[in-house]
Amino acid sequence: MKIKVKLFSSLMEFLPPETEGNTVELSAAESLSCNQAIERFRIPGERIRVIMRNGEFLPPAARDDALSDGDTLAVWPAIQGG
Amino acid sequence: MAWAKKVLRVNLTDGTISSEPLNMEWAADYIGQRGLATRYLVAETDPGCDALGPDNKMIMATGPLTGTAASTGGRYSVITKSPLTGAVACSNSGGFFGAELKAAGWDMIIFEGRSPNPVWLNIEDDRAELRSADGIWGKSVWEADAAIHKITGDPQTRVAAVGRSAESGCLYAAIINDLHRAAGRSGVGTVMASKNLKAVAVRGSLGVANIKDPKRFMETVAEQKVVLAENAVTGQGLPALGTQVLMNVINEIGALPTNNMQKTQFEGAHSISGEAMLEPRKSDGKPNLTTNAACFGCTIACGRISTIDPTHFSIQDKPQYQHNSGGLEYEAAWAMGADTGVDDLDAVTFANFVCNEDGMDPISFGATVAAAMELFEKGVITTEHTGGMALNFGSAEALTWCAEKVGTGDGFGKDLGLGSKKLCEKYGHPELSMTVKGQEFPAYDPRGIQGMGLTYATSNRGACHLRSYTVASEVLGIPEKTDPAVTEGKAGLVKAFQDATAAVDSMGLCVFTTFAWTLDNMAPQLDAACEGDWTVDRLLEAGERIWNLERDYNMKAGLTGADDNLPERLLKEASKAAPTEGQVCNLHEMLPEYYQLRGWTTDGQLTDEVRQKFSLPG
Repeated sequence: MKIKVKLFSSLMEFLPPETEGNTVELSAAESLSCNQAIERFRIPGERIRVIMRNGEFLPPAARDDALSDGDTLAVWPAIQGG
Repeated sequence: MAWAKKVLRVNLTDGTISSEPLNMEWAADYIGQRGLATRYLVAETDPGCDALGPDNKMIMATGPLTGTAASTGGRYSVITKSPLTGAVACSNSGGFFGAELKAAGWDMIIFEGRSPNPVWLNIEDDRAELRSADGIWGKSVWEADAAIHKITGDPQTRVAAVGRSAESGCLYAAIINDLHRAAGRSGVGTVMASKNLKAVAVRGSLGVANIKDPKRFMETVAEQKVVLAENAVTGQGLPALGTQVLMNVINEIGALPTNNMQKTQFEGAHSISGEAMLEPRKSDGKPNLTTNAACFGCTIACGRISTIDPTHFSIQDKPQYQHNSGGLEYEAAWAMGADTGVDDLDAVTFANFVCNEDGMDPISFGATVAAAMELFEKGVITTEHTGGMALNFGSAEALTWCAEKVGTGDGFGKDLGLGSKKLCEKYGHPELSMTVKGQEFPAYDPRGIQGMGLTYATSNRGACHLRSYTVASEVLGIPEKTDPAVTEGKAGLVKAFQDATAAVDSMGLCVFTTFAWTLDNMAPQLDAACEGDWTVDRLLEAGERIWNLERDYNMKAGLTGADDNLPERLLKEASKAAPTEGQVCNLHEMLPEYYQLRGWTTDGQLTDEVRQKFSLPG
């Protein structure tokens, strides 16, 4: 299956050098989880604060669930607003 | 203590200036700044007065921690009746002006009446005098700031001024201090200009010397600064990308209002995002963002300092925009970008510079342009009205043109200066105005974030994110993650945010500290600085009292529970973006519970029990 991973803000430094924009497409076995997908970028765990799967907040307890073909993960460090 | 215990009263009608003691009984109940100044406004004005008439008063107020060593302790607020909403206005600003006012020995300035001729106020410690604004009236904020500095001869003079937009009656004019910090919302600049008051300049050398327990204060301040530094948001996130990191976040979840809130996702979001502000441009190899910047005493430093691409069409032959100046924050980038469909980062930055130079609230300005663009799209506004400019969604030329027109109050800029509500009413389509109580929405679509719908509907100053930032919980998980799609529990969440924020706004601290601090971190600082026992419970009680006092003012000004509403678009036209597809804002599921939690009647009126509980004035 294929999934997309978007890294934002200071996590963009973990994108492969040839990446255009902030999106990487991954090919993977059927059983790939969110945590397994993100491990490929070697981001220190404490840097990851918010993950969204297809635009919906993915709680830490659900990050080992299997992804589906066509899923998009968006990953942020600590973020804020105002 | 920490309060200077002095109020400067300026009667503009007869040109007299006097000093009087701060009402410390009120300070014990309302803390300072937002709360305390509202108490003065309630005591001294008729809520039914004309906001732009001489009977309205305008108060510039600091908090007890303003000017102290507490991190972010540089805030001041402007409290008055709003000409945009008819409700209470309270606009908070950073920079250095507030701390300077406190260092000059004043907790607040109360302006009353209307000067027969344009004037500006000069304050040097305990000396204050009104001076003629001949040669300054009619100038932009930046020009007025330069002229006043030339007169005082002191580079450390801090200036708060209104621009040409306020002078020409733009209803969402801001007061700009330190060139690019704004008391931005609700038209407080319009009120200032209506009093023929162009600027307030202040130089203070006294400092804040009367801290109750200096040793304990400095110890707790140092401890709490470590908390800010070690928090990933306030220590790393905000300094790096500022609030602009949110552009992609909110777009990703399908809650980024686009094209006057017709859509909830913007294809061009990345181009105007915080990440885009870091990308080197082709012309000179420099990014939009030059550096971050801090207000007085702030150890977060979220401010943006930016340049515009030197080859961009907007700044040719306009030298005042060809250098570093105050850059985009999220709300401004959204209003002038996504909501108008403009994905040109330099054009949006240009509009932001103009808002700073001529004193407009960029949220209300951008949202009003968006409403005008929808009216143009529907053929209601035409090039005959604008004098030739096509107001198409996505047009960078239209956006920059509109900014300059409103900035100077020229031609169609007068119509745009009415704000979204009155503009849409004038052209016969009130349903296209995306406002609550006449004030334009900020950058979170309540169809995708339900708590923000209740936040907007019940905000005492009209649509506003800063009265109850439930985005922190519903999207970012601070302090605890809640589901943005559900309404259950949101009434309590909104009330809790509203009460706590009212307390923060009244202390002199920045609300951005709340990404790392709770009232548990703030109460010890206030308690060490000020007489009386300041606990978290007392702060929450004061916050709730302030909220009810503001509500009471609004009811007496003629608003009712029916004004706690949202435009039909948000209640009936479902989001089409994938993550929030099919959702509307279910305000009706939250509002009755909210009234109940507040102890109000089912139609939103204060009860005698609430009045007695908080000892509200009659």
